Amino acid sequence: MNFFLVFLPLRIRKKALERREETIIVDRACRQETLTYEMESHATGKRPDNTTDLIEEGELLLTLNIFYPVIFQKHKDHKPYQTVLVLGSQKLTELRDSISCVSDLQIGGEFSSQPDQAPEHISKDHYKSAFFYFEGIFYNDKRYPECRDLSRTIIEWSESHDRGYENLRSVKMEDYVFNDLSLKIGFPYLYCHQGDCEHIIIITDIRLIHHDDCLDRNLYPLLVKKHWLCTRKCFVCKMYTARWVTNRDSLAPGDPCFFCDVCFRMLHYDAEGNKLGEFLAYPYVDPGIFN
Amino acid sequence: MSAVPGLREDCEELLGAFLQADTVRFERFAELWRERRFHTIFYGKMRALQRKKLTEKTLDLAQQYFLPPYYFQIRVGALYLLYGLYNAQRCQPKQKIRIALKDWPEIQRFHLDLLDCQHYDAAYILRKLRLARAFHFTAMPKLLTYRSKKKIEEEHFKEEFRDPCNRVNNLITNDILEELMNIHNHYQKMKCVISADKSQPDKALSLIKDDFVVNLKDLALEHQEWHQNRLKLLQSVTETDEAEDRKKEEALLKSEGSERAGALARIKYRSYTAPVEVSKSRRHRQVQFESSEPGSSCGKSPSRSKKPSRGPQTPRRRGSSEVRGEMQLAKETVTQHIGMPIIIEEDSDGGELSPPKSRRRR
Repeated sequence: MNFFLVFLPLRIRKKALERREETIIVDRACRQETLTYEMESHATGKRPDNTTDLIEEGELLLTLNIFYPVIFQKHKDHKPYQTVLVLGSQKLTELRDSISCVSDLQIGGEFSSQPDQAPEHISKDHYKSAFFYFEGIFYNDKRYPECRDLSRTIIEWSESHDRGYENLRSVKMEDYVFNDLSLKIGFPYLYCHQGDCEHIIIITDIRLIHHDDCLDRNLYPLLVKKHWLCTRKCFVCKMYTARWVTNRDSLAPGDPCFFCDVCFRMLHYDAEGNKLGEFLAYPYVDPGIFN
Repeated sequence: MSAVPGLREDCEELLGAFLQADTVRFERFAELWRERRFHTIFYGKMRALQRKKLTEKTLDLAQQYFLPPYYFQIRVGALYLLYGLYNAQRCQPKQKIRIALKDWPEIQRFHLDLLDCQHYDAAYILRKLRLARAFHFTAMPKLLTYRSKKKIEEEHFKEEFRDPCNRVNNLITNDILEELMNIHNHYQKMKCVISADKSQPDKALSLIKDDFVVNLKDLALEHQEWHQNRLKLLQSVTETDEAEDRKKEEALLKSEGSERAGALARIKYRSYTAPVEVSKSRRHRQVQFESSEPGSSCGKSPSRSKKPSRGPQTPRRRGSSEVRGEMQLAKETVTQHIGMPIIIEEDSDGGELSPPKSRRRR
């Protein structure tokens, strides 16, 4: 029956299959695998409804790895990153808007006395400045009047003591598309936002667009790989993702303690919405919300 | 790309068989492909993600044989292999073959070669792949991945498929010779201009041989000839077993009929192998010696220039033993380096060290 198994890879694969049959009770793809595959292939071959959005032949497609800002010790061998596909004719600002990072969503302040008043505004609305750093040039986001030149301090720092970084200059991010840049493949660049949230960016590939790729311009920048992050669950129901974190809480088992919105209100406030006990409450944004 | 275990061996086996068949016809390749049932390479219960990765790696592997420095025939075989693998893959949409920007001109040249040699079947396959949009035109040959590996495996591709490139021939092309000739003429003219007698350069200025370019060309040709002979020898050596070799040699020696010849051959063989260690330093000294005297600065390699003089001087009887020596030598150098082992030969027929000047006079 194994007449066709003349190849080494096939024989190895067969052995693996047999082992799988012996050891695994339910043979199906795990969630991680499904997610990875879905992410990779959800956009392949898509065509736009509107012909003006069709990507033309000869367009460049860049593959960018965007690393997470905090690298834990356990990830020292394999740094986690997202992979994004960008078109050569897209502006840098389009990439900037598509990068999702929890530090953009933080809400500052303590709201234990009036939880309903927690502002809708997240950090991204307050602090809109950001820059990319490619090949000695800072690309600053200056689309809004309140944007600050985050790169200024760096340039001043390098100029003040002649630290060996010459010709650093800053330009406006919104004036440039990727085709304008001269880039090194595999070289680490930087995306910095919220003042100090720094993401390493590595361009791993540049290629011509292909017939089988997603040809809808609106879907780019296209996220093709990201991590499945563990979410922190509410300590009470152990079901929903945490929305609040409390410190010095007289009602909580630990410090800090995480709650989902419903449990938080039920435990800490009476029917009229009066505060019960002593605690400090902060809105919490879980890194896993992008799942 | 440690990739798929065993896959390389299978691909190499197929390509090796194709090389043995000594043809570039697609029919023959297809026969070999069918004999091996190669399309089953992608079989086995696999989920989409794994299948995709496997296909990617397989194509990546086959693609490397498609590019130089492999034999033309291996490259054609790799083209067919790519075609087969691309169409046999079970991914939907199909995985593409990555072609780097730097490799594309090479492939176009290859296509032209195919057309020139009238290998229309191969050209057709290449065209077919292009029309099927089987290629991704990329900046890098491989998709970069970053992770620190615990151990990095070196890739070993089959050496036998490699097209041995001849550095000397690459270096000394017609264009270069022409250029040299021009420079030489120009130089000569300049010398004429600055010397007292306008028609002829001063004696004091003759620092270089006049027939330098011609000599260089001769040397290059000679080297090429030697190289070809050596390749033939190499092949004959590798084809036959060592035991067979010995038998043959013995037979040859016996046919020579004399014990003395055998002894001579043995001595000679020893002298062939012995001076390997010395040769380097001696060569160095030779060059120094030569360059110190005016007129020879054109760098006529002493080892090469000696070679033809050996031909007529050797009696016919030496033939067999010399072949044997060369074969031994060839066997030795197979594993080391396809380099310039002639020095050893000539040393042996000189027998002992003699100053290079006297040798040249011979």
